[in-house]
Amino acid sequence: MLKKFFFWGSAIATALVLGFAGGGTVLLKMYDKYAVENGDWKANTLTASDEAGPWMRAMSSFGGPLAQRREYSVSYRATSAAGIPLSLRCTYRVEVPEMDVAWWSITVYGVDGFLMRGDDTNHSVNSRVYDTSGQDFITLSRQHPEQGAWLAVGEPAKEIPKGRPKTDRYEFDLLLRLYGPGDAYLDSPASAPLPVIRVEDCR
Amino acid sequence: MKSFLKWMACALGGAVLVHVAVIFSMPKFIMGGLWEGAVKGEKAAVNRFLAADKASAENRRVVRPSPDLLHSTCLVDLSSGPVMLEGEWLAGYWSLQLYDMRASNFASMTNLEGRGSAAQLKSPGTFKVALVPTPAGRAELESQGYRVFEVAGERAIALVRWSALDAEQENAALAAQQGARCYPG
Repeated sequence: MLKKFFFWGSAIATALVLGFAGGGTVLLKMYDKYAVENGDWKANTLTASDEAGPWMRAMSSFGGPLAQRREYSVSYRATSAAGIPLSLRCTYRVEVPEMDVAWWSITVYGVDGFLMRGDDTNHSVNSRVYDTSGQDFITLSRQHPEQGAWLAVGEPAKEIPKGRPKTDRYEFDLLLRLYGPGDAYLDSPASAPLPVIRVEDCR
Repeated sequence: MKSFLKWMACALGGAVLVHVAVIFSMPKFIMGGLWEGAVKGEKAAVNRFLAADKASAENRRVVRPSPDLLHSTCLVDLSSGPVMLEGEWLAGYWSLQLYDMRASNFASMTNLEGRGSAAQLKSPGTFKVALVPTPAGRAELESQGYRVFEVAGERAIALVRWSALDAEQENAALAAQQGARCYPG
């Protein structure tokens, strides 16, 4: 009797551990694997889509449960400049090309996913602010530039989120939101024109 | 050997079933968590709009908030009948997204006409939406000017976004946000 109990008990326990571990791995690790890459930017084009299967639906509900359909808005995330992780010590120049969208915004987040604390509140630059800045680039830095549009990098996050892979080296990230995206962003998200992030200076 | 194979088959078969159950139940679990979290909060918002403050570094409830949007959320409970959503957009971009408890974005509306850089914003206007649990009474609501959506299940979440790209749009968005109504019909 006891032998039978251990036999089935250990099988069920193993099934539960493997099943939950597999589910957790899909939710935490696989989301980025399904992303489309375009330079330093990555987008998950099946978010909030009818085409998403159960796995993608689970991943997108875990990562962003109230996301908009891609016909309304497409988001790209960048954690690097020319492949080098974004660093608090560096100043960057974000060159924005002509993009076939109704409007756009770029926002800076800490590694905890929240707006970064600091003295300045320029967490975001949108197309309207950019168009009136008189320059064809945005400065991404901790120090206020002399002129032009500025994305302020604030204080580092106090807590590193659990589950962050040890291989992740970036100290903040950027989220580009494109509203009313044109065909290029819907049909060819891997090659559509996107801002280029260049390193200007590092201390 | 035979008993080990039996054990392996049971453990692996069970693991697949548990994995599939986790994946299929995750959207409902997440949406249920959002709902319960909001209901337990100080500003419970069942069948009324909850106007979120503009995103800031101090507000750390929502991950990856957009500082360029103001939004309002309504937890829609259809157990007692239809729920109405009404409001306006004044200047700038506006959108309404409706999610069922499986995290499916089952209906969307916007004031943006067309896509890409040629897209145009409609003139300031109003929205009237009725969410219904069954098709009964749909025609009457439509005759009253409501756009009617049938919801799978008794619960849904409505999310309205207004752009706040500059001070002018932010003031208009604030006014629209305060004037929006979600109420049982």
